[in-house]
Amino acid sequence: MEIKELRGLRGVVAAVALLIIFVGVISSFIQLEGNVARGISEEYNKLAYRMAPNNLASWLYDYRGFDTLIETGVIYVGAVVSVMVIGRGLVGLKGMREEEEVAAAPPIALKTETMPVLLKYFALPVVILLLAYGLLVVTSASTSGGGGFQCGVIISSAYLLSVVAYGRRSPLNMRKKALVAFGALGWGLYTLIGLPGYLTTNFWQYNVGADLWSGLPSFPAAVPEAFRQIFGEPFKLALHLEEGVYYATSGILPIINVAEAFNVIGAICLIFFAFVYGWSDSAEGVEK
Amino acid sequence: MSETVVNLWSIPLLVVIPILTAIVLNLLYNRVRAIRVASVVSAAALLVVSIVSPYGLQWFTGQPGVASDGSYTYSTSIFSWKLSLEYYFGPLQQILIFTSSLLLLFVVVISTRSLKKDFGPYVAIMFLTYFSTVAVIMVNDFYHLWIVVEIGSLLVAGLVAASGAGSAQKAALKYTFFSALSGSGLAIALALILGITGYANISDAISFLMMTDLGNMYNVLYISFAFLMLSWIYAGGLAPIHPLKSDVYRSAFPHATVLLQAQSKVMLVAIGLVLLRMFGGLPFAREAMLSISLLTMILGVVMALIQTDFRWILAYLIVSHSGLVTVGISLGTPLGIVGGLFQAVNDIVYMSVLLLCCEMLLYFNNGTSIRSSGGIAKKVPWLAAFAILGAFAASGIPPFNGFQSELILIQAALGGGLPEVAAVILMVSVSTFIALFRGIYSIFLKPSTNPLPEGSESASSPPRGMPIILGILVAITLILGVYPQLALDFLTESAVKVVYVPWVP
Amino acid sequence: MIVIFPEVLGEVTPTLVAFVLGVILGTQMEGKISSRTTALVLFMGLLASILFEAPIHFWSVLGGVLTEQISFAFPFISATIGILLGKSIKKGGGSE
Repeated sequence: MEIKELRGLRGVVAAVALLIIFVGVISSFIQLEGNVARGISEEYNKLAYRMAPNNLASWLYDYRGFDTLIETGVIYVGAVVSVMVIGRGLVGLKGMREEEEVAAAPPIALKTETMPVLLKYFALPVVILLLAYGLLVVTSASTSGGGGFQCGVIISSAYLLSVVAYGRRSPLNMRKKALVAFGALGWGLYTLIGLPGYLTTNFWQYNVGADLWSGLPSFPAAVPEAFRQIFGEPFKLALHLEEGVYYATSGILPIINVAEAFNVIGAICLIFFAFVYGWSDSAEGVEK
Repeated sequence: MSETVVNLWSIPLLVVIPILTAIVLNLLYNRVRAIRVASVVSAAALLVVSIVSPYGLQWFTGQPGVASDGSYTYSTSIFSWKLSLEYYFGPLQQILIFTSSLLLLFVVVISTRSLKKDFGPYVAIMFLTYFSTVAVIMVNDFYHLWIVVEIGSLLVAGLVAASGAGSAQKAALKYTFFSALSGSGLAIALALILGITGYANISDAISFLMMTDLGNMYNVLYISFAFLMLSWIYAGGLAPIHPLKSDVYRSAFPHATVLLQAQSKVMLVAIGLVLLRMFGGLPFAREAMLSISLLTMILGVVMALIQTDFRWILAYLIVSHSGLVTVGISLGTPLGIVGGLFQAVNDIVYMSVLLLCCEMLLYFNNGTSIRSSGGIAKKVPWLAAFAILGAFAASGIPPFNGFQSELILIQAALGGGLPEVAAVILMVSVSTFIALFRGIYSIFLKPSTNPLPEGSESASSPPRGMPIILGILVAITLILGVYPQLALDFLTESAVKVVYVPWVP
Repeated sequence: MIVIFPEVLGEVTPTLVAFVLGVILGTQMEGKISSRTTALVLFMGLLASILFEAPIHFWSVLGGVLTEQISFAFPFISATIGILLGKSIKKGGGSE
């Protein structure tokens, strides 16, 4: 939409509408100030320490774990769709003549010759350390405020740094196919991690490792001991609380985070890839 | 009657199978045979699940509810605040999901035969569109509703952009741009509702509102109603947004539009029912919904009357008939809601007939424009027959299903003391007939003015099995037209629940 | 089962997971890396892992805790080694 279109009556209407929305939203936020109902969040807080030591991880990946699965999907689909909108379409009907294709923008020409020497020689170690940092963040997801999303964007920034510093000879050289596979496999792993809970209790994504609830009399099914050990024991930690030592496991949450990380790496790098190399089926983009 | 289970087995299958299929298809990329087998098998499996499934709830991740005394329970007979995300599968969900599954199966069968180039990701997006359709009607949670609507509108853009034509690219870009606005609108509505009630679960939020006196916080509720309605208008392509949505409908391949229109009608039903359940008691809420619906109906059908391309005519008619669905829901009476829901089911089916006929025109004709064509009835009589039958159903002519639902809507409008609404519904039905037959006459019945060269047919062989698919769909419109009770049995219970016990999913 | 699972296995698992993921990411890298750079990366990795410290709720030597003051983020070191290893096994000999 061009600015020109917003002149005259249309502009006035748009401005009035925006003003009404602004006043409405701001006034309701002012009214909510100090009056926010706690609702279900109190219950979540009460229960959080029984699983992952990090409250946020239990909320995001366990209590609202299925929400996060679809969020993950939003990221992946968003990347694929925006690449498709930027680039050209995928399919045509057999035997139909095609409309003229939208001319693809030429890939950005990166001139690495003019890069400062310092950047050129220090970028590679920094890229490797960034990758390692991303992995540290994802592996400590359940204990600190890290997780799959953060790891994904850290590693994507390493990818972008590598591409910007080295151009076509980028050492971190993930191809289109690899990125699509990363994203798809990450989302697939996250989806499939719901299967153990589904097979034993019919609850999708029930955390069989932590297994907080199968002791309740109204719980409809049983979790076998083997599942509890396989998914629970590898992530067991000792929490030194005021009341004494409490052993807790976050169960399937760390695995979910790894899957999430791969999905985000695939999605965000795919967008970078499309902008830097362009999107075409014939050429893989790099190495010409 | 036994107690409702909270771990119904079928709900995860209905949402997870499409996701996994989409991932597999994405990885298969261009292996035609494998894609065809995988997608048809999975679509058939979804259809079977939707038929055989019993009714119940699924509490994803299996956290219990918190009873009022602070204890935890999985029983649905005890009142409890839910800790987990809740999906509900009931009669209304069953009939809508069954219809969508049937259409998905047909569309997959057609598209895997008629497409070229790497269509793995494209079919994957179709499966995800189906996922958003089934999720939005089952979900009983504001936060999840937001995510599903968000992913749904992204997928619409994806399906449209995939066809690669310049106009499609433009439509998709416009649509994604506005989806950002309406997505954040829905997020604000969600934030305000969470702020007032503290519960993301829709049933819990309604229960909280019934138990608590909001005092001077009522205008916050109004603001959140306004934002939720904005996303309703957007997701369904109602009045002020209708040019965007009809652009989307006509730029996608017609077989993709079959899924898109099903998705947007199911979203209209789902969000509309949430609006009624949550805000139905607010003064002016239903009036606002009703006026938007009437505007949509009239604008859509007027725009359809002046188009010169069959695809455009259908695009605007779909928008106009979305208004018919929402009129019923906004009336807010049990009869009105039943009419709206029945109209949604019928609409999805007869619009699919017309859209698939439109797809066939791409093969048998030089496009879908009214001007450049003619004489198809002589060349392909069966196609002309199906198009005419579909048009009869769409314009509400007696032995077909459109007649039954429009009759209920008119009765509900009259019963609600709104004869003006009944008049508009009648007007839409008549104008639909005129708009459709204007197109059908000049494309199918009028003698051909410029006969196509014979050679062009061999280049494009239409997918086989199309007469069978169209036959099944037309049979459904006939059966529902003769025995409307078949569908009404599924819908009445939900409509009554929305009016009298809104906190029950 | 207790043989396979020590009491707080959660302190060891992240290190292993980081190593495996590092190898996977390392295989996505190309080009040659000089031994000087390798040494630099390893040294800086060690330094960084002291700065990051062991994750909270880690108590044993296996988790990287030497004393209250000095602890290592083992996942970071193992990830660095994994990346270098993955790079050398996949496309290590590639031309510059």
